[in-house]
Amino acid sequence: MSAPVDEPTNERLIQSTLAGDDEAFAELVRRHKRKVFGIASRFAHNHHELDDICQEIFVKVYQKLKSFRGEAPFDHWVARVAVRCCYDSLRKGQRDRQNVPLDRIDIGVVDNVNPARAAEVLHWAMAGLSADERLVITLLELEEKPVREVADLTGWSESNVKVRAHRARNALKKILEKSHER
Amino acid sequence: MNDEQLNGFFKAARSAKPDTAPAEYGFETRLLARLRTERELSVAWPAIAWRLVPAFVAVVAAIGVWIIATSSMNSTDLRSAIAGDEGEPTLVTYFTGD
Repeated sequence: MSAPVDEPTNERLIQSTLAGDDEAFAELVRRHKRKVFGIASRFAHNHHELDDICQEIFVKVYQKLKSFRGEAPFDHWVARVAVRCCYDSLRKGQRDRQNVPLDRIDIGVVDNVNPARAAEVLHWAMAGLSADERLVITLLELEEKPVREVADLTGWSESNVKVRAHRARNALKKILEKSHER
Repeated sequence: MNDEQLNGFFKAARSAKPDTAPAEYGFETRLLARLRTERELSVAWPAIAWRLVPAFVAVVAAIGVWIIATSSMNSTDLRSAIAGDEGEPTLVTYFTGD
């Protein structure tokens, strides 16, 4: 009976990719795409847009692979690239406010609201925030990442993250209140 | 709207995890195809640029020849005008005001 073949480590796959092995990079993508899709899906409107953002992320990973020094785990490094790409796409203003009718949402009984509908309304309301505010709310409140990790992913200081989160929450409340008054 | 209501929105939105499976299907294949295309393009551009060098040199040479030819034609016209009798009556008219 043959011995089980050991799976190559990330470091080994990185070395092979840098040596020109595309299959090694495909394996790296296979290992980390779930996490990247998870992050990017909070920023994309549809599957097509999600595919575009994720491709952009992995193209960046491929281009910057030489600069990975192994100081942090590879999946952290990929997550940082992913967050940076999502932030860039937000800043480019690719996302427009969608025409979601809000008249049937009752803010007072939001706990009973269909989760998909709540996500839709939140997505709509968040389009009114700045890129910074939207990023911080997504990572803190939707992805439930701790402040320290958000600071690490975004490159902002922890106090900066807290200040931006506070402002974002207030802005979001105002947007939702306004839409409810309509 | 208070914090509790906003947190209710976040909680509901969190539980609606987007299904990314359709976008993940065949993702590596599409990505590698894109990387290969970008690589080919980045290799092809310098080659195309080198192929254009002779044409560029020919255009520059043609422009140079044209500039030299037109400037020598102009100077010949001037000399012939001075050498001929046309210059003198013009000068007399100018100085006398007739």
